[in-house]
Amino acid sequence: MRHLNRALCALTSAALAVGVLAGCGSGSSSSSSSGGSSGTVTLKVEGWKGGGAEPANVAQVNAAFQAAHPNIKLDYSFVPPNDVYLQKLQSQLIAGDAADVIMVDPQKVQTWGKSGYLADLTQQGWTSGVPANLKPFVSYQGKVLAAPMELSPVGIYTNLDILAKAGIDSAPTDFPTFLDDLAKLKAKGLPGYSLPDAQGYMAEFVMLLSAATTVYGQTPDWDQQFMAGKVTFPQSFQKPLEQIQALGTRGLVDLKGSVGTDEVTTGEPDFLAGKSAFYAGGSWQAAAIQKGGFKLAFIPWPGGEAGVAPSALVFPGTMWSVNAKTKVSDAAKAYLDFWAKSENLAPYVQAEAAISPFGGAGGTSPFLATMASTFASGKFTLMPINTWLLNAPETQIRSALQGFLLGKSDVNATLQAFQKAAAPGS
Amino acid sequence: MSSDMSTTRHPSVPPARVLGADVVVSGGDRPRIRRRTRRRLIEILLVVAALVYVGPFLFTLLASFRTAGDIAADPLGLPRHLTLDNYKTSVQEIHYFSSAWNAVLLTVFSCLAISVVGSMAAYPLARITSRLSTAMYRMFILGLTVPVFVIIGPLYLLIRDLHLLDSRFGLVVIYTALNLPVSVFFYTSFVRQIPAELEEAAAIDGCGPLRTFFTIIFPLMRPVTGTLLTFVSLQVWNNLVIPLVFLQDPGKSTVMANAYSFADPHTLQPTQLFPAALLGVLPLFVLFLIFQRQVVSGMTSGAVK
Amino acid sequence: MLQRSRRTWVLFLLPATAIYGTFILYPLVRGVLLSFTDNTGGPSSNFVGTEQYRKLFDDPQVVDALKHTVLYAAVVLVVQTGLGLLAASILARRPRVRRVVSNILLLPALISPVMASFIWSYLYRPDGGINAFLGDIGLGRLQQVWLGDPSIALFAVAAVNIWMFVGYSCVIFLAGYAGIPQDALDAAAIDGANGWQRFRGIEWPMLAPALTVNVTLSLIGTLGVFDFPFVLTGGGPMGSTSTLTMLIYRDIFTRTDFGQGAAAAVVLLVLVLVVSSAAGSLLRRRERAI
Repeated sequence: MRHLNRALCALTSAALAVGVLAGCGSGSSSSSSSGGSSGTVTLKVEGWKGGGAEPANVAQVNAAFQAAHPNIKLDYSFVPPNDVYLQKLQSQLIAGDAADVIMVDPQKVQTWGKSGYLADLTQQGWTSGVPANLKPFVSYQGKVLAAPMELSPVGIYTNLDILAKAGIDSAPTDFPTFLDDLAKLKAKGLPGYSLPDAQGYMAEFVMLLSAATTVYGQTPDWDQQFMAGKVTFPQSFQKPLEQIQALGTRGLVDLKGSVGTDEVTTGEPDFLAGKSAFYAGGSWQAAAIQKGGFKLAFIPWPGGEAGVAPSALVFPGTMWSVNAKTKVSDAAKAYLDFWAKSENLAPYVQAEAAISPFGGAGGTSPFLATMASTFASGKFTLMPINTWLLNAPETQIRSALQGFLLGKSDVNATLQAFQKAAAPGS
Repeated sequence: MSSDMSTTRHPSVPPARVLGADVVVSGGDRPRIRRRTRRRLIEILLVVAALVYVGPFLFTLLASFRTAGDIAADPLGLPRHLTLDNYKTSVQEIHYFSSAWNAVLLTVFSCLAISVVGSMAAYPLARITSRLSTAMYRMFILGLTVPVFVIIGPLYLLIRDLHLLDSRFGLVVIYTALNLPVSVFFYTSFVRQIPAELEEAAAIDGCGPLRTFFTIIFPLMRPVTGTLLTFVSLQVWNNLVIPLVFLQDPGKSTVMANAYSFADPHTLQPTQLFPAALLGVLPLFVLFLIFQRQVVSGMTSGAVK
Repeated sequence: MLQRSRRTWVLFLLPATAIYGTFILYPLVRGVLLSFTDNTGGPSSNFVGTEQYRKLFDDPQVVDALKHTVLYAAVVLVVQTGLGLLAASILARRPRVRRVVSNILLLPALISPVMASFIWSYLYRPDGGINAFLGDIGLGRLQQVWLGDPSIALFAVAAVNIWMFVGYSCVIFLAGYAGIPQDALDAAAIDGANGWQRFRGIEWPMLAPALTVNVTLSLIGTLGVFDFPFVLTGGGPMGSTSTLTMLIYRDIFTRTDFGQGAAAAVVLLVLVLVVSSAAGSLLRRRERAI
């Protein structure tokens, strides 16, 4: 009992001390990374790659940066992706003590740009190397706020070994062939295509994959026209939904079951285990998928009419931004300069099986060849994540698509729902 | 502690024979034997039913000893060969021993603070009936379900200003604050059941209020402390967001936070996540087994009602 | 003793009030104040009065989320407490297996909700363990697309919650059973009461404190539920499992609409306050009635 008493005394006084401190501490200001006495500065960087399950050669690029800039002490922290990254970074940004350089993606450029957290980089030299169609993704209200690091193709991973068992010797390149191949697989009792959509993002993915050929193939600037109110979903987006529907009505994919199947626990593990012959995913998954040990192809969604070559869908992936409140702006900009050179960026781009936004070689694996040549020929579309997808509460698009998969709404009603959710000014 | 218990038991409650004390079977006649076999059978059935119920847990346990290919080929089937490799990898990846130790420290100190601070506050809140005490009680209740992400922004600002970022003490304070409402709620309803004569007797004996509280009231609250801490320790142990947001130094991170950090965001690999998560709860499970004796003995010997 | 001294009163309340006030109430008030502004992160925000609340209740998604939250809480409360009580009443009469069975039932409570959700999303898939099990035991017609059918997904998510915490509920009731004096039961047995009458007349009223604990814990867990729907369904299909906390999360983190998120949080707080106060006074009246 006496021990407990003493412990309690200590605790109580500690609690009091904390309470008192809190009362008078609110006015204190923090000094984040500050300049050292010997002319070296510490540069803090936070990102969701470079640790955990995705080392992505970040350490290698950082080491090269460190060697090139001995007067800058680089302090890199890996923060786990998605919800943890959002919660941590947003708290730090509100408090004004996020790292000097932070990893972002196109959505974060818009939301954090709007909040004023990101420094204006328009005057940086590398901005002239950013392709024109990528510019809107790194900018908010005309100011460049981020340096792109990769262009990640999204497509269909294909297990060629399974296809071979059905007597098919190459991955499909147009939609009739795709349907034929799936029918052949089904006839032989072989696994086909599964479309797990419990979280709601896979169907959205597939719709966009198809749209790359069926919508953007004809109207490359569809997003701009849509944002200007010149085109609508019910006018132009039938094809992607009809293709999804065709998979269902022909009995090739159980669309209702899809809604109850989880992307994260099912998609990639099933494909790796040879339980599906096709799987829609991003190039960033290539390294993990290659471990499957079967003959692999990574192709654009074969969405064209017979004989029409497909277009690729490309996700502008990770980017670097500079914290608007950084005190070591020069060092931060030097860091971005370094990453914005193709030769420095190469190890990262290779690990991600992506394409460098500043030109130069991308992933070198042979199975990426189809995708790389499609990209090189200019037949690709950037995901509209900074225009109407950002505009629409994504839950509404995803909900509408789930209703479509469940057969609760037809093509037209679904497109009307998209229009209502995503239209400019809605 | 136990000597305190016997002296403070409420005089009007006789030492209760607890329901379900083992029945001594003395005779050997037939119906009794038959009844006994039936009883045995039911008991076995109960254990089997419980095992079926926790089947998904056992599936996880089994899967953690299998190879990736084996699981993929037949996720629900019996393993063809067992391996410890998943565990070896996990132990290294999540820095098991140091991160588990960090979690133990955080959990133990948070639990200590939550029960002591909460029970102290509950004492006057239960005893005094005034408008102010009701208002204060309500104020604590308000915090029962504050989603942590509503306050995380302002809380981060505060913790930074107090220079408690990246500090274990800061984490203990946050966990204590987050769990005080449930602690106050539990203790308040419990203190109401303790007869006030006990304290009056102690006051006559010349005990100060603090001493009365810690020698008489607090030990009486062992059962509710047990229940509370089972709940709270789970909350603290399994929390991911607090350590990931408020700690910088990976060396201070907890085992569950590390397990989560290493999970692939695009896919769930049972061979990677399951062993990490099971290793993560192992120390807590051991603590529970040790702790459970305490709780149960507290529940049975100090049954105040 | 306490009535005599104001200073003691303050001494006992001070540590809790200081910690809670500083680290919960203060950030909470700061957060809540945002609900009267149009803040979207960053320093700029304008006072907009109750505009955010009006927007909130005009939004059918919010009204749906409110309904889902209450339904979820009710289902979990009733089923979890009911099953926990059933298990406890069976085990209380079987001392030989009480310990081992209650320990087995407690196992799921140890893993984190995130983990439990991952395991179950694996089991719930159409060709997953649950449907396979139903097929094996001849109940194939009960097979469902558990997480994909908007009319049952919320219950499927609730089932994971219940699965995790039934053992916990059972242990709390067992502790309640341990406090029932054998004499009371003996007396009832002499009066010729059968099992149900004994339960209804003696055990049920004497389990009042254990019931209070169970009800409270499950209310706390369910009204603020986040991890289960977040991992299992992300709020789908077609928004059928989106809860208030899911909306708040989305407002704050994916839309950085702090004003709207804060307003939704206030609605949640009011809901919790009302429900837990009502439940608290109801249960306390029951406890006093014995």
